Amino acid sequence: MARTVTICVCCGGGIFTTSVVTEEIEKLLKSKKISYKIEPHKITEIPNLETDIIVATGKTQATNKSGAPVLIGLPMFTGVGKEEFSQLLLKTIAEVVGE
Amino acid sequence: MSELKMRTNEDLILLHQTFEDSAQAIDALANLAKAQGLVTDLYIEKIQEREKEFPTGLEMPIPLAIPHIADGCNEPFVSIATMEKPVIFKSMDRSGDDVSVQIVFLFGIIDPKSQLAVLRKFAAAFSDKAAVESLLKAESKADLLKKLDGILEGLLNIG
Repeated sequence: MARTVTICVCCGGGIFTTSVVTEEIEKLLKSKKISYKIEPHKITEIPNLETDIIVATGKTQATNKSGAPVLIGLPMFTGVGKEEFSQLLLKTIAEVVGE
Repeated sequence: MSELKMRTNEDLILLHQTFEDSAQAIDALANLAKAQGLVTDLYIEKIQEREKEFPTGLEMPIPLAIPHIADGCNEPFVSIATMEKPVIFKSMDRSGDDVSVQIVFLFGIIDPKSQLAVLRKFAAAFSDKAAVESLLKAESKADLLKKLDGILEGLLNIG
């Protein structure tokens, strides 16, 4: 059994987009029976977050000091490219926590 | 937790507008909210700052923008403007791309967790071309509100 994966969802203000993206990711992870912790944050917090994976709603030059991968999660909000994002997220989770 | 309904009414709607830029569109809508006491001056100031730093244009089937913050917001609301001529917003994906926006949804959001149902409905509606088109084609403010109420399935507090 893989360990719990920690995901931080970051948008500009940490409200609208983040709330919807978070809920969509939770649905996906529950359906795949992946153990997770997920928290809302702001894009400005990205460098200092202590987490496995960061999902930002928009492109950002910011990188995480601890090396957590930063994915662009806007497709979970708009629905455009949602399937591709879901696959990328699941692949990234598998890489981070192991099978 | 009880679900906070999101307020809107005819005095928060602008039809067939022409704006110079995104700042002018946001200012017009934010001031409608202020006239009803839904937001304070802090909101008027912060919503502009926020749009500059984290733009909210979305390249959807019908391009739209969703400026939203919690600062200075007294009550959750949505204020809407349809465009006679598209107004340029920067894309939320922070690619730097311009989005030729045909409809602006300005939100005041307090405690997003208690409003997840309505936010989720809006997010789904944004990618629904027919739904957004029906709002663009609304013949009156009352007509737009009626259509929006149908799309949001009763999660609005109209009045």
